[in-house]
Amino acid sequence: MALPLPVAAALVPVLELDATAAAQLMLSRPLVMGPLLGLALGQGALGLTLGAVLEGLLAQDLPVGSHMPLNATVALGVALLAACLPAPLAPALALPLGLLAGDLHARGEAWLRQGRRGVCRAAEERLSGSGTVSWARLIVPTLVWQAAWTALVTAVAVWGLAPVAAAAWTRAPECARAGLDFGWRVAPWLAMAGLFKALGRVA
Amino acid sequence: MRERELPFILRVRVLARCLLLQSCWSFERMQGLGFGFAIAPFLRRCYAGREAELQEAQRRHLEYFNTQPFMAPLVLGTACALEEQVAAAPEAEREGLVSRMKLVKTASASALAGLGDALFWGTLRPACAALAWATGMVLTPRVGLDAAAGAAAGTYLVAYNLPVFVARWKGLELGYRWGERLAVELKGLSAQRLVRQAAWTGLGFATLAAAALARATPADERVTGASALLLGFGALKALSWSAARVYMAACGAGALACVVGLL
Repeated sequence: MALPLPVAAALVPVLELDATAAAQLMLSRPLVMGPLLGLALGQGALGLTLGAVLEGLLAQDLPVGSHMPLNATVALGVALLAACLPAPLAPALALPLGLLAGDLHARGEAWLRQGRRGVCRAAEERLSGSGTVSWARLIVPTLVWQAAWTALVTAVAVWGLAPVAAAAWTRAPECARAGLDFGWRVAPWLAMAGLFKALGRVA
Repeated sequence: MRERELPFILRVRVLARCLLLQSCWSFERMQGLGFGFAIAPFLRRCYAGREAELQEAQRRHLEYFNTQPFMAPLVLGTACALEEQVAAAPEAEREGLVSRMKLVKTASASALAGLGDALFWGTLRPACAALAWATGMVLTPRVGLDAAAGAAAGTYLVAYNLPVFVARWKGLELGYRWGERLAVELKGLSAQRLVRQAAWTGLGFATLAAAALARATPADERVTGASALLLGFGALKALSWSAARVYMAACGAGALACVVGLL
């Protein structure tokens, strides 16, 4: 039996924490999350395809220093969930919607990181005051805010933007649809080019 | 070079906390809080019964810190070794030792960041992606799409996490053993050769995946696909575009082709 969509959507913020905040076990990578979440939703093939495409397209976007890459986990989550809605979004439209959501998430995360400016100073003040640092009081709220932001972006994109995009898709000019369809057809090849470029950079 | 090892339980505790190194990442001190959180169990053991010194030690490990997350255990181990020296030193020598520790910590973090970024983010991650993709595509006609999808995800997880776990586990041990000799010892490692070997292996997997993709593509679509691969690679290389931008350009090209009647 397929996982209910809201439950699958609730997994996205949890898995997104693996991308940067916790562990980095690669559970958040599109080529891991895509097949696994896809299988849970009864859409293993779509999950694998979207996962492979996004993994390749975003292979070069590295989290180096303070650079905020487009969030691949959110991109995959939104694209897959939108394509699994009761009125599913065409994959050709789900992919750019996912990329948009990933970009939006990255911009918001930059703002969240700005908000953590005083967290080390707060720890130092607690050391000076009580002599100990309550790490949970500093770390847990940060993780909660991160997950909440991911949940918000995912929910807005899947249940807000996706139906609007679906309605627009039926009314869109034929050439706009043809363009996105073409993009979807060649996306695996472009993703492959992304992987070759990423690996060729150091070979 | 110290012969002692960190006790097993302490090692597990420090490494488990290291998993949250980036939990409170900020632009101000980056991984500073995470580093302080990770080293805390060791400091409590090192300065047991010496509260004022423990607080001072904890405070100095909340300063600015940034490195590749999987290389951080090396720096943690080094910091642990140097904190032991500080704790055992006479009062008069401590300030000098602390200054030296800060220098070693900062310098090794920067050097390991470059190495770790090239090795893990820049090479191992896309290589594992290529391997997973190849696994999925090769297995699909044999075991079906669902099983192949699961196998692809499993392959990625195992291929990536095995070397990362070794790097983390051994990194803490070696950092502690080497202490401030970390830079000298790392010079002996052929890091560049390792990165290149991993990249060439990844390119092999990517070639296999590309061949499987071509085989799975209908014959009348292969020319389009191959052209997209070559043009896409060219745009990435020559124009320094991101692959996402190349994808959007492809959508635009498709729309344009439709307008002029080619599609």
